[in-house]
Order: sequence, then C-alpha cells, then structure tokens
Amino acid sequence: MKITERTYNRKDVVVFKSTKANFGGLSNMASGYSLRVNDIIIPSAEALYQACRYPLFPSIQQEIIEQNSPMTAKMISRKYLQYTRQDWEEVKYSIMYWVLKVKLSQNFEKFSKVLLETNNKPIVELSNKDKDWAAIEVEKSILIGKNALGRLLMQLREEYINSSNYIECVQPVDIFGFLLYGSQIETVCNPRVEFENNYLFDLDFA
Amino acid sequence: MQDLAEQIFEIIKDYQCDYPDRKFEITVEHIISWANQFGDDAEFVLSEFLHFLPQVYISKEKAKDLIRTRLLEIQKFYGYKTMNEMVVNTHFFNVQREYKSQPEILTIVDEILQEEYMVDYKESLEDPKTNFIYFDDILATGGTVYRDISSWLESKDDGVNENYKAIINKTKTLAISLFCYHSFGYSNMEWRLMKQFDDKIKKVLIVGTDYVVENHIKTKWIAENQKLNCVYPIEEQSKTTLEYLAGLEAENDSVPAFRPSNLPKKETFFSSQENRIKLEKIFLEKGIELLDKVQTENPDRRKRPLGDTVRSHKTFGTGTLFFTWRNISNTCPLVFWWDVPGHNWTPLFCVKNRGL
Repeated sequence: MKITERTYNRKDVVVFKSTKANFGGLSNMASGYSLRVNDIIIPSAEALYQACRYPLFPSIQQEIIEQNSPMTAKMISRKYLQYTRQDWEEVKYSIMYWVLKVKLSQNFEKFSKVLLETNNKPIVELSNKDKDWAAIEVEKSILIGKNALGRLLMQLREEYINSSNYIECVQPVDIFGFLLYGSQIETVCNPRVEFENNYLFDLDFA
Repeated sequence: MQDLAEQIFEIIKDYQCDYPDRKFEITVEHIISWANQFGDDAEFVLSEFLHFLPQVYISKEKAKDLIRTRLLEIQKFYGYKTMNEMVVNTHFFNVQREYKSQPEILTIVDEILQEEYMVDYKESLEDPKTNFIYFDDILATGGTVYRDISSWLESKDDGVNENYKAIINKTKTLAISLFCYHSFGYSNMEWRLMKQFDDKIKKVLIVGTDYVVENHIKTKWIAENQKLNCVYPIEEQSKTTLEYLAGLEAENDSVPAFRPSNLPKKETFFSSQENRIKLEKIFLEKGIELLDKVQTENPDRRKRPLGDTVRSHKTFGTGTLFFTWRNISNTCPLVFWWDVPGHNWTPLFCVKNRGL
C-alpha cells in the first residue's frame, strides 16, 4: 500500500495528539481500549500493533504486551527493530487497519462515539517529527504529512460508522505468518458476542 | 495395591469428616473398590493418583493453615498494625448459598479470628468498610466469582456511585482469596470484568491463590510455559471418544479440546509423559461410558467426561485435579464423583449436592 503526502489546514480538520486532550481516544496510545486476541489480553492498540512486528519472536511480543503503558510498549519495541518481519513496510498499513478494526469491535461504544464526534471532518494526527503516520505543522495552521493513521481512521469511520455497519467480528489479515505467541491469529469478536452467548462461562455454573 | 490405597487413605481420610450425613466413609477398602472398577488398570490408577495427590488435596487442617497465612498476608498488605484493626475495616463477602464453599471457609476464618486473635468479625458487620474480600475454594471457569463480584461492583453501597468506582479510585479495595484458580478461567473472568467496568480493574483487583491449574493453551508460546497440571487429553483417541466429541452440542470450538502431544514440555505433574497419556485415556473413556448411561431426554450440556465445563465449549471437560476436604468440584473428572443410581459406579468422593 502506497500513501502520498498531503497538506491540511488545521482549522478544517480534527487534530489529535495527546491522549488526554480532545479526541485523545483516536490515538493508539489511549488507555481504556483493551483488546483480546487469541485469548490474550492486550492493554492497548499500540501494544498490539508493535507486537505484530515480531511474529517469529513470541518473547519480544510478550515483553511488549506486558507493559501497562503504551508508550513503554513502543519503547520496548524499538529495542528489537532488527527482528522486525521482513515485509513490514509492505504490510504495516494493513496490519494497522486490522488493529483499528479490532479496537473498534472490542470497544464499540466508546470508540464509535469518538469517531462520530469527528463530525466527518478530516482526521489528522499531529506530531513533532513523524510525517509518515502523522503530519507536522510546517507553518502556522499548515499541516503536512502522509497522516496514515488519520486516514485509516477516516476509512474506518466511513466503513463502519457512517454506513452504520456494526462491526461484530474481525478476520485476521490475509498475510503469511500473522502470528501471536507462535499461533495463527484467529478471528476476534466484540466481547458482547462472547458474553451474550456465554462463550467464556455460564453464569449459573454450580 | 493395599499399600497404595493405605497411602492415599492417609492423605484423604478427612474428606467430609465434618459432614455428619456423608454417604460413605473414606476407608482403605473403599479406595480399593473404587480402583477395582478400572479393571486391569486399578493399580496403575492408584499409583498415578498417589503421585500427584499430595500437592492437590487440601485437608481441613491444611485449609486452616492456608487461611491463617492469608489473613496475616492481608493484614500486612493493607498495613494494619493488628488483626483487630484489619477485621474492623474489612468486609468478608458472604453471598454464596448455605452449602457452598464460601460459608464454610468463613467458618474457618471466624474460628481463627476468635481463637487466635479474640476478634469476632460478625460484631462489626455493620461498620463502614474499606476492604472487601471474597473467599472461595476453586475458580474453574470463572463464572461464579465473576457473577458474585460483578454484582457487588455494579451496586451502590453509598447509594450514589457504583462500587467499582471506589475500587478504581482506590478509596476501597477488592480482593479474591482462593485455594486454587485455573489460568484460563481466571483470564476469562478478568476480561469480562474489564469490559463491563473498566480496564483498570485488572490492575487494582488483588488476588491471592495457593495453587494454579495451568490450562491456558490457546497460543503456542503460552501453552509451552503451562504445566498442564490437569487432565487435558491428546488428539490420538479411540473412535468412540472422537465420535463423542463430534456429537457434542457445543458451538464454541475456539477452546482447544486437545492439548498438543508435545506438551507440557517438561512433565512435572504426572509420573511420566506415558503415564499421563494412559491415565487421561482411562479417565476419559470411563467418563464417556458413564455419560452414556444417562437416560434423561435433555441431559445437562455442562456434564462432560472430564468434569463440568461451559455449555458452549466443545471439549471433554475442565479436567480439574484439585480436591478439598469439604466437597469435590464438579469440574473434576466424573470418575471421582459420579454417583447415579443404576449406573453401577461408586465414586471415590461422595458429593453433597450434585445431580444430573
């Protein structure tokens, strides 16, 4: 997937940067959006995305996932960049979109609300230096960058929020070696589906 | 065989010793007649059972020691100078039905507090509390503990805010004290609490356990680090066994029915890898044989050869190998507790409340 650079005017877009500020829930660093893939609880979207870099190194994945702070998870990941899957540059956007779909599916109420509040405006992640995933402010109110995360969020909004297309379950990305802890990543679902169907446990269990 | 039965008797002789109406006594003879139901495998079953039994049987005396230690840990953890101070500020949940394990554990808690600390916790039941402790013996699937503590978390003790908010902002604490939990069931309980209330529940929930049944095998890496100290059969089974599984009315096949045959990596629970496979097969086939005798039109879907499990799980059962003096968990393999008139099976442990 190739993404080209774009220019945005700050006054026309929804900008997010800090997880504590407005629209902070759009950030992969936002807490309170836990995920569960292959029965493994993952504290944030960032941790899941970073773990996907190292499909052949479950111990690195575990070290990333065990961090409570998404920022620490990212820093841990940086220690091991030489073990990144070889096709990472080709697959990273597909993987990120899958992570966002999992985040939406497993945190539907909260995440769909934030996406809805963007009011269909362009979504831009603001950064001081990352022109790939985000955009930087080159001069007052002018933001330039590929803004990949913002664009994937807009795609997600279009596909599921604007179309009222409720996201029940998410299929794994169709790539070779999409592994978590040494096992193929399976379809993940909205926990409501698991709870309502008593997939985890029966509540009348004696 | 006599010698094996005598050694087993020494360990389990206090089973339901405090229960006047138990159906039969645990005796050496009883243990031998239970084993004889396995035919040529009788001696093998006793020998293997004895191998792991000492680490998984909680006698009443041992339970008292564990609870005593737990109370001291709690006092230290919360930073109270005296046990009295801890008790005044702590609520012990008493929400299970009369014959369940919680009230019996609370009776022991009460005995320890009164005899050793001269404190009667029942005298301060109405005082405002900071700490809340849920005692139970075993967490298997996680359903019971989830149901009880989620019901408290969503209620409002102060009439204004849900209790979970006080737990998250740390003005109150919530702890679970168990003799044993299953790693898979615990993870399921944790996930549901996080999604229902707040992700932070995972961090603030305090858990004390004396033993963990490691049965979380969905992913290879985690599975390779689990002891699998339970009955979890491999895929190589008889046609009848495989047909039983295929015929189960259970829609969730995401929980593995079989363990990978190369796991556990190191056998630390059974006497050898071969003996594990053999005992698992014996318990599984005998359990299927017992279930085959059920004539009910709508049999309970939770009942499985290796012990009760979640209705939707397409597995042979929980396979718990953990026992307490007070009652056997229905998540243990049926051979230990199945007691149905006409089924021609004498269980090792009689049960207080169990039906089809």
